[in-house]
Amino acid sequence: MESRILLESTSVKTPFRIDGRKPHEVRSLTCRLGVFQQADGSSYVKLGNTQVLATVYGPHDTRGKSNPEKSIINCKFRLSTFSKSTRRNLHRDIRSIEISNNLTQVFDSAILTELYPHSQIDIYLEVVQSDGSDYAACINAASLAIIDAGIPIKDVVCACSAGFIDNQPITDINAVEESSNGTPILTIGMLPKDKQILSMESSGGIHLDNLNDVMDAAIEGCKSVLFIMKQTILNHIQELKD
Amino acid sequence: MAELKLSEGEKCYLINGINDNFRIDGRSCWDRREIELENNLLPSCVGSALIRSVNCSVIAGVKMSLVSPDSGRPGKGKIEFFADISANADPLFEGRGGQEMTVELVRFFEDSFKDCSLLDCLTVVEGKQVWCLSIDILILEIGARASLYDLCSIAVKAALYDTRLPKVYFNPDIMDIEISEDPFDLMQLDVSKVPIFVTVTRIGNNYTIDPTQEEEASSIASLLFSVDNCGTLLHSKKLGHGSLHCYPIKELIPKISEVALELHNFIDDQCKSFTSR
Amino acid sequence: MFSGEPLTSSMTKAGNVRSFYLKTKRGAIVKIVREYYLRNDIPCGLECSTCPITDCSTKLSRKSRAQINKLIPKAHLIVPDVNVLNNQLDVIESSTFGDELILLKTDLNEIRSTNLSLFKRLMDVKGKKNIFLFENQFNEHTYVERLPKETREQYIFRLAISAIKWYQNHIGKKLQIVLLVNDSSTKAKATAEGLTCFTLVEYVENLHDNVELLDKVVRPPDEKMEVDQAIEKAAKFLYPEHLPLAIIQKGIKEGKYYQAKFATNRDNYLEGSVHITMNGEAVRVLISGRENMNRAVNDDIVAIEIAPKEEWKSKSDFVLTADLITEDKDEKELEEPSELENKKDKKSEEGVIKRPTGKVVGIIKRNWRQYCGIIRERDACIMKNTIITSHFFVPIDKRIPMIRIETRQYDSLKSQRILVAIDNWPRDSKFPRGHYVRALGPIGDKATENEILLLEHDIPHLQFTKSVMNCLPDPDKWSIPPEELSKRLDFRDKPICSVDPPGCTDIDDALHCIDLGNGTYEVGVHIADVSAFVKPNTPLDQEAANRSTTVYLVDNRIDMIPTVLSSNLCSLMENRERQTFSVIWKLNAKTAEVIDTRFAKSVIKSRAALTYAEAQLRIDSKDSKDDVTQGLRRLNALAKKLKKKRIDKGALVLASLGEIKFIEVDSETADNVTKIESKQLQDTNSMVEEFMLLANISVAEKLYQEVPQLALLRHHPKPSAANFDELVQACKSHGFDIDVQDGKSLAKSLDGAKDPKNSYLNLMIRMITTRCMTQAQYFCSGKMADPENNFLHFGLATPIYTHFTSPIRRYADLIVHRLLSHVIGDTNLDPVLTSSEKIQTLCENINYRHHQAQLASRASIKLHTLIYIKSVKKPLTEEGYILFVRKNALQILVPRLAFEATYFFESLTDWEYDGLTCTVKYLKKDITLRQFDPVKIKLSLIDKSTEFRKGVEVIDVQLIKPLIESNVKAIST
Repeated sequence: MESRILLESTSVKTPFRIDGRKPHEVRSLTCRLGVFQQADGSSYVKLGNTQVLATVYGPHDTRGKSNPEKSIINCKFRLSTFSKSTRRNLHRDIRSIEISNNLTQVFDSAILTELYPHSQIDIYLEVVQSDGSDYAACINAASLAIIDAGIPIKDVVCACSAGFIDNQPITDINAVEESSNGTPILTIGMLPKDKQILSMESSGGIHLDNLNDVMDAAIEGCKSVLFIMKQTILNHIQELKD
Repeated sequence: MAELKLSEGEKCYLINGINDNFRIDGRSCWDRREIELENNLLPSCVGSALIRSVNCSVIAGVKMSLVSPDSGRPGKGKIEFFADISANADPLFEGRGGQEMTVELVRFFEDSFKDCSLLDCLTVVEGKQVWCLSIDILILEIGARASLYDLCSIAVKAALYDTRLPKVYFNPDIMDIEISEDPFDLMQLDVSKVPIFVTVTRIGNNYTIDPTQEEEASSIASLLFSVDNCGTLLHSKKLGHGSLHCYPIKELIPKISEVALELHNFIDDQCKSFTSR
Repeated sequence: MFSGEPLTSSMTKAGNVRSFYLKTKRGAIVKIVREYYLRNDIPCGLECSTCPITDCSTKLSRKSRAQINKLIPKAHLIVPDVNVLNNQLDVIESSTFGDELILLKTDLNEIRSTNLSLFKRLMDVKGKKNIFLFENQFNEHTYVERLPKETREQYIFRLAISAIKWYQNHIGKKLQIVLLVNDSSTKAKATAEGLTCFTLVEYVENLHDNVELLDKVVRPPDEKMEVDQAIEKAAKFLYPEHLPLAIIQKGIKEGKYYQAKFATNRDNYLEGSVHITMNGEAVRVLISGRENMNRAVNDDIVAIEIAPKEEWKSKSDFVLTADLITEDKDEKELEEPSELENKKDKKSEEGVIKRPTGKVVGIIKRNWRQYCGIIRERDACIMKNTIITSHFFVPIDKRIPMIRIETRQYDSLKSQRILVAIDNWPRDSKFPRGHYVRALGPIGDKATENEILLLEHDIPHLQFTKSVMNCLPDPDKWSIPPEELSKRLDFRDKPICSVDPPGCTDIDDALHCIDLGNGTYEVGVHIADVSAFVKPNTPLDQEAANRSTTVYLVDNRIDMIPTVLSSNLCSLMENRERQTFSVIWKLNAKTAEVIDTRFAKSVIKSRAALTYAEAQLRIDSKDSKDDVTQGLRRLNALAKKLKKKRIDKGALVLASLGEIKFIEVDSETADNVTKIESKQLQDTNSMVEEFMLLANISVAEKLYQEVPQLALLRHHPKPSAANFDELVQACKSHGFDIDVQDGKSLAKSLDGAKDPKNSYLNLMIRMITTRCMTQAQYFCSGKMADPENNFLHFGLATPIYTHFTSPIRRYADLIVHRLLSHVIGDTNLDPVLTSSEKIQTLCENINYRHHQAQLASRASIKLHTLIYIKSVKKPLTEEGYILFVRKNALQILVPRLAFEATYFFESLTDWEYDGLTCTVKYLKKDITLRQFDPVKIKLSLIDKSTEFRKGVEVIDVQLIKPLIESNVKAIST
């Protein structure tokens, strides 16, 4: 029903999206560092209604094979059973495996792994509420958790999604926009200082003509997200000092 | 951490302290650590609660569905339990790790809720349709096992307290149910009879509640009880490998009721303050 | 614990969460959660110092609506509430109501979720007027949360009140904000809140210029009751109650009721039918009589119940025309012809095959549109005594019942064609109630009748909007851009020419043929590259997609794309450089076998734009030896071979009457003098056609091969043998056997059905064959299972087919161009075309528009025939042939006019019908008429202005040879 309404919105040109945002606006973002005691690093990210808990364990001994050159990164992503409006089963979720692999690649290149040979770093992500842009929220949460754990990282990795609806690029897609038929979504995870893109994942088929605009929207979103992440980190350090 | 190894000296120090009713963190034997409770954390659930006590955190989320009742129990709803330990708690629980622990927990919940009066208010059309509540318990941080069970039960009770079901009406014209158009036409559950769990742990010659991981490591065994709001013991189970002498257990019962009532009151107060906000 | 104040960069407010419960289609109940953001930067639409600048083009004026209303002389802005929008859109739409208006987004959302077609209309109105859409749902000052125990309507009303309060506060006292509501109880509520509020009726009554508007007002039912109370005091319910939707849905689930689209019989408005699937079989269910039809109007989606088997009837073979209906003046209501119905019942006893019948139990969705027609004339003496505002409207569409309307403009409207909308149809009213929308023009006026034709066939015919025209280049300055020239294949030196009917200005195809030596020819078909001008998702593209086709009327052409393109920049005119999309084959000169096919974007410069006759002349004249003529000769030879191959495969030659042309002569002296000239068919017609077919097939194959999920194709399903029953029977009575096994045998037996004495016999048989066939349709290959069978184009006997050759006048071709352009790697694909669902949706619209365009063309020919007969000023005597024999009428084909006339038997008792031999016997004179028999008829115009149909002229048909006397007197105009 919702998706139908969204599509029809083509006939009414309004400057606002279905949730009242303007096309370039990111949802309200809350970040917390150090939310768990047992883990080496942890964080909580709430992006609109999407909520992610991240923990980092390590660097510690590997359980299996070790790499003499660098630390092994192990990322596990999971959507909780209650994360969406209908209860979901945990088993055999290929999408989760895919996201886990993507995250592993992102942080394998962002963390200075060569400093910790023969070790392993575990990053666990639990999406307790899913309302769109889960992957982007996870990158941000993991990035904060790694910083909380004090693991050296090249930069604050930040991510944001963007899509293309009604012939205009929109930043930070929510679940309704995601589910509307055929919305292309592009998620970019980047090292902001060097403007290096670590992850670029798209679904739904973006037309080449629009790719530039959508990418720009995602990168602009990354900047907004980064601003808040940096402030969170600074606040957290301030609290630790006090 | 799940596994904690203590030296004999450490254990001895700990046990001697408990004999004097003085625990390593300064509590007496029947004191509980501070509990933080938060409701309505997960908007997509019909009810949810997050509970934390030092290094243990648990989220409970409730989902609803309409099912037909069991033939033998036409007027009773259903409650399903699922428990899962997030890898966030420890890399050990990655994948399906921790399953034996959650199976035990789920079994105990199922047994304790089997005859709960809560099931009576879940009837929609007697004999035809009832609510089935699916309660997911997600363990985010695991402290001592013995205190985890207590916290899980608090999380479940608080989540049920928070639960709002849409009012459903039976329309005889279409022989089917209809949902109220008014988003405020909701039903709150009567959770007064919902039991909570109290675990008592034998350390040395004494019983304590809410042990720390160190205390648990030096304990003999634990006893798990589910208790309703009148102080009645509904169900019990022994946890751990050691053996317990039967006599002191009988003496424990009144104390357990007392502790349980305190907890019931605590949840009521907390949840009320949340609803009134 | 985790939560806390969010840090936000761009938003001023944190997100809010709203949740609600829903029952899904599967019966599960789910909780839906939506996050929303309230903001403080919502523009108010006025020149305003505090609000941020509006992004929208709409600007409201502070002097709006001053001095136009007696109730509120000072400047004010009006906000209609949701009920007004729901019921009174015709008032709001009309120009005298004033231009400026504020709409609330929450009201709009409500309309969108409850009535989509109304919403679309509202959006159209918004485009035409200066309407400002206020986004009150996202404004932190105007948004309110729903309260417990509040109904949805109350909530939406409260949202509106909150928005207006804010508005009034925001813009100050100089400009008043007025809420318009539909009924007085709502007004009381709003006034209690301290708002300025009027009912729409009040507001309109006090407007200075309101005569037209008053007619358009839909009066709320309670107020209407007072007016009509005297008349309908003893109101009894004439119709059974409609069942509530929930019960209907359940009934449908259980198989007790069926959902279907109601279709009124074109010839008998008291009978309708629906097509349903019963026990896996497609069944047509007959619904006859007022009570059974139960207020269903043509095209409504209804729920029906099947009657018990013993009540099943046969379909009445009668043609019921409105003039058989008499009026009972005392009751001021119309009575149905009871006598006729009785007769029908008696006849049905003999019916061999009984059809299932049923009744309408409820309406699932009304599909009311606006109807064209006239006001039924009142008795003059009644009019003199009292002022009667209640009138009957008679729609042109015979399937629509009369509509009761209120108007004070009877005197000025009685000679006009008017547009009327249905408002409701209460149980106690025999006819639906409606209201006047606008006048179209005087009855009989050609322009008016033309517009009606377009309106009735739902053909978008308004002028192209500014935003569409802005997409076009300036034709005087335009030339092919150099980068295009470098990208495209250059055919400018090739001997290319176009062959079209005379007077054709939208030339979309051109051809060339070169001898390559060693027995091969190069043949190129060059199609205008419209896609170079019509870019996806521009307003121009959207308009073209909506129109889907150019509509050809006798004296008018409704273009799909603006004339600048269709007749100039895209048209492949002589000696102009034009962008084209070419298909180039290498063909075996002897066998016409395709050796190689290429597709390319190209530029051409046509050497000659020929007519069919000119091309024929060039081919025939021995002297011409130039490139173009040589090419034409080769093409002509190849085409003949191609045609033979096609016919051998079983392609059908299906004829319609040779096209005729109406030429207006000397229009200065007399308005409607029309001459008829028939078009000549030449060899060259079929030459062009063959190569177009070949191009279409080549493109279809290429598309399906490259993008099997996305190809837009055209199929023509093989009709079932039962469809041909009528044809087989007709031919049998004349001693011809028609084999309908497959296309080949059909084509062969059609060729055999010839009578030396009757030259039109074969043509008529072919015409009937055409009517037995299903229509060819566009579809998306990804959405059709079983390509082997379902892609077939039966008529052309080709396994795959599409349309590529006329992008100027068909949108489907334009889509095919875009797809092919992607396939050959020339352009990226428009995102819309990457989904087979979306292509299928496009196809459905194109199919619908094509069908409507065909109907409109036919109606136009009929209209012009009428005008022609009128212009001749005396009855016409024409040769004709009996195309069909019916129980109460003969359908007679008049070849000269390309016209089918219906001759009604005056008295049924004089005629004896035999369905088996397709004959009818005139008992009085012992004359037997057989199908396909030649007859002579007299066509004249008679004024059918009986009691209530003033100024309606109908073509009257009389049989002269054999002569059947008639009592009806024809008038000569």
